[in-house]
Amino acid sequence: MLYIEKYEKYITKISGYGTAIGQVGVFLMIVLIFFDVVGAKLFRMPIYGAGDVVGIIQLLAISVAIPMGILTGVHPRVTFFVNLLGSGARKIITALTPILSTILFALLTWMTFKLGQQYQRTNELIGNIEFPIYPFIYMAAVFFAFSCIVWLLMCLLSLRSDGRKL
Amino acid sequence: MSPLLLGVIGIIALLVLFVLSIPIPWSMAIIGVVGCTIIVGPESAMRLLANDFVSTFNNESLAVITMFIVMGTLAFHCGISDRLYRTAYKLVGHMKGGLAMATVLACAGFAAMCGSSTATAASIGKIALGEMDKYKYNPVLATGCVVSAGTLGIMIPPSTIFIVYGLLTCESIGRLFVAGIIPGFIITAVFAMVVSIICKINPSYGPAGPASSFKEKIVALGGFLDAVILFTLLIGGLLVGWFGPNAAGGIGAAGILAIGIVRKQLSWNGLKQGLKEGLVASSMVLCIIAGATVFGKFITLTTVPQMLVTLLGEASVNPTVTILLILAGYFVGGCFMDSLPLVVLTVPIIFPTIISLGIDPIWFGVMIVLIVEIGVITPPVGVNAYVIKGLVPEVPLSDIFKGITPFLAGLLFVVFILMLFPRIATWLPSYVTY
Repeated sequence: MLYIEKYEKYITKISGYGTAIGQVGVFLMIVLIFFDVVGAKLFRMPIYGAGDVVGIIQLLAISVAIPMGILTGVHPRVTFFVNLLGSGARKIITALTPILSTILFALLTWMTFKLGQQYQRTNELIGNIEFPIYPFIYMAAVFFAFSCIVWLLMCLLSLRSDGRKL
Repeated sequence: MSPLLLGVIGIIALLVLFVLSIPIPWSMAIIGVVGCTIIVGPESAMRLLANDFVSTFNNESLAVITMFIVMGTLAFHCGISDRLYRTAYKLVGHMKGGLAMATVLACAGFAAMCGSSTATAASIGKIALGEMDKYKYNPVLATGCVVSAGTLGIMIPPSTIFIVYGLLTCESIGRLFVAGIIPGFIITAVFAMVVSIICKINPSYGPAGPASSFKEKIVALGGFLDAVILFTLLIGGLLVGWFGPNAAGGIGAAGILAIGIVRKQLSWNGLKQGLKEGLVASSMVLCIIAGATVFGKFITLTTVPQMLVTLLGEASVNPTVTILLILAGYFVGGCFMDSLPLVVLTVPIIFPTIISLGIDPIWFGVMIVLIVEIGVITPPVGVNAYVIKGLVPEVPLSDIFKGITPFLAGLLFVVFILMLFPRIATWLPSYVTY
């Protein structure tokens, strides 16, 4: 089981780096919105395309933060009924979440890559700033792929689950 | 298989995944994509999945959620919760049950900068519970009041639930925010009265704290100053149309940063932690919205919402009875499910019915927030209760829920008042220009 712990350590570390990038993104969002509003209201000079850039930063910041959310278990779930069951049944159910989620994120990654390809082919541009959107879609796909890897780790960890209450 | 039957099966399958404890955003996405696969084929369904996730995360309008969540987490790391509590403590701490009343007031103040009930309860609870313990407050009253007053976080603007409700129903977020102000103040007053009544019946529950001089009280008011200025700027800006909710979020977060820097209370670590907590919480909320969008498309394809409208139209049920039934449904749902996913999941299905009954959507939004507030403090789920239990592990959960009961009665009283006088919620929004 030693390799799982090593794998877990690396995944946690990479997720931490990802979240740090997301934190910078959120800070940039605050700065951008603030200067856009102040520029527009006080100097009649809004930042051109600020809204589009905020959207793109958010896309990257949120998708890069998903692995940390998975690892820390922030996503809400109804635990009341499962906790009424015995530890054996709970162990099986605990394994179900990462299996289904791995499949979901694998699909999401694959289709996001395809979406990126489609945008690249059609040369889709970001609203006002007229910059190609596809590199950001590819980046989001990479982050989703990493979430998929995190779910695989959760699958492995669920094998060690002792069926304790959620 | 008819789409309608498929819709009903889909809803049942979703409930099964919930019961199996699959996280709510993934449950909705899974059922949504499987359902759409059956109706429109696998290629379109999977394209829909990627499109919905990417467009939700890339949605500039949804940045309002990220901004207000980050504003709340930064507010905590700027020591605002601490200052609010100290101020309220100086003002009412000398009265019987004064510390519990100070907790209610501090929660109301913190709610003006934070859109989450659990964050409000946890932020104020960290300070208030220790103080109440020091002055020999009964843990039943102490925990009950923190858990219940935390719910003000989603009623007093900015509120995450109002933002999400506004985005789902295309109602003005500015009007919804403003609609929450008077009910939020009423709940604050009702909670303070509940504390007062409890301490009148059982004075040992909340002994009086040390009195402060008039000068000390005036000086302490400075602790409310930054919260009041920021709240006035945000709500005032929305009221007069200076900026929209999205910009308000950015201004609020920048304002909190400025307060932290000016007061020298925001450390580098505090900033990093506040941004991290805000980012992870925002990712959770946006994943719920993305999952609900996938599920919502499936439900729309099955025509379930239209069927509900037709059914209620044909049954010609009294609108008041319908509303009571819907609210009862939310109450039961809130006992088992977190407030945000409950709203995200159900509002798109219920909303056409609300409109067809001629009910004011702003009033309905306030009622939903009020009912889910009740949900976050009601067993067996009662998220706020578990958050506070984490802060005071020595207090049994049964005591916490016992402490909540009188406040729950207070919230039900406010529901009754808002049913009788809907203008309480709709009067102020009529002045909003945005």
